[in-house]
Amino acid sequence: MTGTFGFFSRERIIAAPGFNRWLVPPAALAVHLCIGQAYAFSVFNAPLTRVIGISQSAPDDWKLTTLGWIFSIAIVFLGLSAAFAGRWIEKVGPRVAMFTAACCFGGGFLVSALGVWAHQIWLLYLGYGVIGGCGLGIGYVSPVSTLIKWFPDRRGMSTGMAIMGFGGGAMIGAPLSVFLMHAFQSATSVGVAKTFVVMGIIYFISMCIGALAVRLPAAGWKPAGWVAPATPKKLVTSNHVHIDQALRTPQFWLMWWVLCLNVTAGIGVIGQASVMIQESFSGRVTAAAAAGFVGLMSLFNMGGRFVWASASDYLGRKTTYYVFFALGIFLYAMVPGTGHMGSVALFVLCYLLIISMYGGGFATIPAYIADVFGTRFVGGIHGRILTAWSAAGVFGPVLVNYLRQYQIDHGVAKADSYTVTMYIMAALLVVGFLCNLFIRPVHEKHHMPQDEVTETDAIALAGSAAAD
Amino acid sequence: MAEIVPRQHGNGWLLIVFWLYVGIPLAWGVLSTLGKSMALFR
Repeated sequence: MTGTFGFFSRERIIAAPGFNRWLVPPAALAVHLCIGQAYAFSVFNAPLTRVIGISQSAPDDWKLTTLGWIFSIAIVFLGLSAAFAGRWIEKVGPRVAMFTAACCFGGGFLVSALGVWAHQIWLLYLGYGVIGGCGLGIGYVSPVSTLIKWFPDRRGMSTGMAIMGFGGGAMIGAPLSVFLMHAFQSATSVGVAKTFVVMGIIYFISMCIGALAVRLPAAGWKPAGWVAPATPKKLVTSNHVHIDQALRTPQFWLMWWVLCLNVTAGIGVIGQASVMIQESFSGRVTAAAAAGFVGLMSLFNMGGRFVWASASDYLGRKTTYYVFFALGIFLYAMVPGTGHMGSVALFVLCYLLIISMYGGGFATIPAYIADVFGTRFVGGIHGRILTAWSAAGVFGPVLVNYLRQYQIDHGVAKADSYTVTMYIMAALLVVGFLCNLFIRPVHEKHHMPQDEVTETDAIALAGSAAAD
Repeated sequence: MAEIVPRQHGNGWLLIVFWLYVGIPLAWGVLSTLGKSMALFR
């Protein structure tokens, strides 16, 4: 692509002197606010069960179990694309990557619209699931290393802003979807196909704006007045580890489990939050209030991404994850007690803190990777570590649902069935705490020699220059 | 390597416009979610 479209080459997006680095976070947000729509996909589920019947499901209409696979496939391909495209993203640069993500995510909606119009579910699996999922993964990873290059002094804050956008994307996507479906619905249509078309176009345009706006700093650029610390923290390296070499380090796998366990515990409780608050406080918390609780959780999920990642710039990444795990163990163990005490306020507070740390875990990991493995391949390594998210996305809900059903089958009351689950999630966090404890600086044998670092930079730029 | 210190000029209006471009939809989404969240306190 860089050979055919020189406009997209890395060399063409090197920032001119005087460029304000604060233009880069909104470029990243322009992408993440779009792809974050994935978390709001469920608003389409009910209307999609009535595509034929319109006012109610007809015999040939899709079932919820059939539709549930659309989101699952998208998340699987998010993980796969982030993992396998990571190296390519580092090579081609953020403009190509973000534009590719725009084509995939926007195009996925259009293919899905065709699937709704033709009532062919495989087109939705292919469209939103496979193609859109690839857009999710590439779009998620592509701005990260660029932000870290622009903000060496505030790695956590900068990546936290972008990844906060992923959380915020659902808050835009959900009401936008409802608004558009309402506008397009008629006596003969639930309005989903046209909504997909409009949203696909909007998201494609917005992500392209981000791709056009993104810039890379010139070689040797530093923030005005910033000097790298003379005695950097032990876990902050000035060396670089190659993306393939990183897989051979214990630090990569320890970090993988840190993310997987933090996300598993969080996903496990997010899924049951609404039901849990209603069953634990039966008669006091209505379904509407529970829905409000879920909304509040999404706000804290989003806010936690920015707040905790920014805090990690001062606390250090390892300490921040210590806080996630230690405080998390305490909170998970406390939640059942708040139910027995009858305190809705304490229950809500515990959950909101837990969810803020769930988001914070996602947002802090890129800066942790940059600290431990250096910045040269941070995007690619980040993409590979995100497979932990995919694993947790499957493992978390399965574990929670299995545990709950096992207890109910053995006579445990529904309201009490969550207690053991929360204790087991707390135990997972103990393991996560230990994994974080064992993370040490990478052995120098894994570091790239300086001439190899220079060579890989030159190859990347030469590939871009050939396009011109 | 030589330190390149960018002069911060000429980006003011673009900065404001771009941050408003992402900030306004985000604020709308947050307020919309906050409104629904209030059901918890009723």
